[in-house]
Amino acid sequence: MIRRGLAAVATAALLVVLALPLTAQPASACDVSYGYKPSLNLNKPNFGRGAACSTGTSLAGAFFVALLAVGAVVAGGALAYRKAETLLRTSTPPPSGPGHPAPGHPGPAAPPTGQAWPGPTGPWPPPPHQAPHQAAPNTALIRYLDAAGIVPPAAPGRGPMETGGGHGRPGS
Amino acid sequence: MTGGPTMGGLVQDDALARGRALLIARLMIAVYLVELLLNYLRPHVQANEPTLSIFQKLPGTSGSIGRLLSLPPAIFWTVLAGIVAGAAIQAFAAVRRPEGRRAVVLTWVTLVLLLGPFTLIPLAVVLAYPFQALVCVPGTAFVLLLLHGGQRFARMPLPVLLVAFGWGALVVFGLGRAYTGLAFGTLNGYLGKPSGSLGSQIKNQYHAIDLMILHLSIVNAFLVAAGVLLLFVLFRHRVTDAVTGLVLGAAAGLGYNLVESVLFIRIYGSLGSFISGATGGFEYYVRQAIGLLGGQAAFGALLGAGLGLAVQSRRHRPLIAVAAVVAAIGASAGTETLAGWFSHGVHDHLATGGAFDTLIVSPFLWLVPQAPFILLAALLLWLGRRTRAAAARTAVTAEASAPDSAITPAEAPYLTDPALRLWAVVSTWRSYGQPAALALLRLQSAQLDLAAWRWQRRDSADEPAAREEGDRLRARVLRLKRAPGPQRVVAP
Repeated sequence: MIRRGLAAVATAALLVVLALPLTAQPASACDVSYGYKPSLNLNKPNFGRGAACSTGTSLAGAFFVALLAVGAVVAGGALAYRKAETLLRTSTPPPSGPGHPAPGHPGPAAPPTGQAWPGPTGPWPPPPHQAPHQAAPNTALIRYLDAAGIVPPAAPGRGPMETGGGHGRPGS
Repeated sequence: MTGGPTMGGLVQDDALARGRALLIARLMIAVYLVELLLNYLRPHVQANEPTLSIFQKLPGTSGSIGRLLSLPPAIFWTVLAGIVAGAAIQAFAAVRRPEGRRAVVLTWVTLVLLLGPFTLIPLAVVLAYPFQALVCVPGTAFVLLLLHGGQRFARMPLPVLLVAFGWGALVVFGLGRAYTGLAFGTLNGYLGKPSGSLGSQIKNQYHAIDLMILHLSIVNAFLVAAGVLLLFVLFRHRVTDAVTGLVLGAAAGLGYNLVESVLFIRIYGSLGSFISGATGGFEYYVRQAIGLLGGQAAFGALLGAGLGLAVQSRRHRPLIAVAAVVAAIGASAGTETLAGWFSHGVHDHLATGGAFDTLIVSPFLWLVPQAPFILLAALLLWLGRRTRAAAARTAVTAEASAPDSAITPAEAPYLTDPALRLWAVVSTWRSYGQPAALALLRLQSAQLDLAAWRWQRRDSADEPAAREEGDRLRARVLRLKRAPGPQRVVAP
C-alpha cells in the first residue's frame, strides 16, 4: 500500500513537471532578497513588468513540497523497516518446541485458555496473530526485549506475566 | 570556579565556559561601538541629518520596510543602557572579585544585559507579524527534527538544538541588523551625495546595497560562528565533531531564516508586486518550503561543520576555521549577488509571471548559487555520519564486552544499526503497545549515550571525572531496565 501511494505521488509530480512548460508562459525571475535590484524598462509596455509570482500558485507549490518532504521521510522509514525485517528473517533461526510449529506450517491462532505461549527463552507470549512468515522477526523481537528487560504487556485472556522485580521474567 | 557537567549532565557550566561567553559578548559589544562611532563620524550628505543615521526616518519607510534595517529609538536606548549596566557590573566584579555562586550569577546577568536588548529587534518583528511567524513554524520544526535525527550517534539533545536556534533567531538576527543598519547609513555618507541624473543616484544606492550585503554576510557568519563555538565550550564533555558543528550551525541558520522570512513575507506582501514581481506567498514558498534546507541553514551548516573539524584537528585548526568562515561569507554574499544578477539578466529579455516561473524558474535562480555549498554541507554530513557509524559499532561492542556492562551482546546489533533500532521500536509498538515502545526508546537512547561516552572518553576513561560520568550513565541504563511499567502484572 505504501508502494502504491509512493507511485501515485511520483506520477503526480511527473505530470505536474511535464504540464507546467505547456502553459507557454515566459520565464521570469521574481525578486527574492536584498540583492535583487528592480529594473524598469521605460521603452517597453508596462515598463517591462508582467504578472507577479502569485500567492495562490506559491502556496500550492509549498503544499506540494511539504507532501514530498513528509512522503520522503515516511518512505525512508518504511524502507528501513523492511530492510531490517528481511535481515532478521534470513538471520534469525525459527523457534522450536511445543506450541511453535515448524516454519511454513500454520500454527493455532490463539493460545489455550489460561496458558501462556512458551517462547524461545521462557514463557513469553508472542505478538498476537502470528503468521508463519513472521516467525523469525517476532522471535528476534522477543529475544531482544528479553535481553533489554522490557516487559511486554499481558495479552487479554492470558495468565499473569511475571512476579515483579529484576527483569520481570514470567515464572522467575 | 570549576565544575563538571550540571543540569543533569547536560551543560558544562564552569569558569572556562563563562569566561568564553564573556569574551564573545565583549567582542560583540566592541564591534557595535565601533559601528556606532563610524556612523557618528560619517559625512552628512543631506541637510539636517540626525547624528546617527538610524534616527533618520525616510518618507514611506514606516512599517515593514522601516523594520528592514532600522532600529527603533526605544530599542537603541535600551541597548545603550544594557551596555552601560553590563560594563558597571564587570567593573564591580573586577574590583570585588566575587567567587562561587555569586560569580556565576553576575556572569549570566552581565551577558543578559549586554546581549539581551539586541534580541528585542527580532522579537519586535515576530510579535508585530504573528501570523507570518506562525505559518513559518511547521516547516522549521520539521527541519529541526530532521537535524536532530540525522546525527545518527552521540546526538546533541534537542534542547541544545533549540538553544542554537534561539541564538540564530535572537542574537544573530538582532546584532546583525543593529550592525548593518548603522553600516548602511555610514556607507551612504561615505559614498557621497549623488549628483546628476536619477540613473546615477540609483547606481549609487545599488552600490551601497552591494556593500551592505557584504557587510551583513560577514557579521552574520561571525555571529553564527560565535554561537557554535560557545555551544562547543558548554558541551565539550560531549562529542564535538563535524556533525555536531553542522547541526548546531544549521539550527542557528534556521533561527535566523525564520525571523528574516517573517520580515520578507510581510514586506513583499505589502509592497505590491509591480516592482518586484514577488508576493508574500512567493517569499514563503522560496524561504520556507523549497529553499528551507538552503540559504542560511546550509551556510550555517557548512560553517559549523568546518568549526567542528577545526576543533578536532590540532595542526590545521586556524586554517580550517578561517576557511569555514570565509566559505559561509562567500556563500551568503554570493547567493544574494549572483541570484540578483541572474534575475536581472532574465528580466532584460523576458517578462515576469506564470506558474512555471513561480514554482521553478525563480526559485531555481535563487538556489543555483547556493548549490555548491549545499552539496558540500551534505557531503560533510554523509562523511561525518559514516565516521559516527563506525564509532558506534566500536563503542557499543567495547561497552557490551566490559565488565558490569549495561549493554548485553544481544542488544548490541540493535544499537549499531538504525534500521534494526527503528524496526524494534515500531514492532514493539505494533505488537505490545505504546508504553512498551516508549520504554524501549528511552532505554536505547540511554544506552547510546553510554556508548557515546565510551567513544568520547576512549583515551581518558580511567580519569576520575570520566569514570564518574560513565558510572552515572550506566546506572541510568540499569534504572530504565528495572523500571516498573504500567503494564506490569504482579502475580497474587
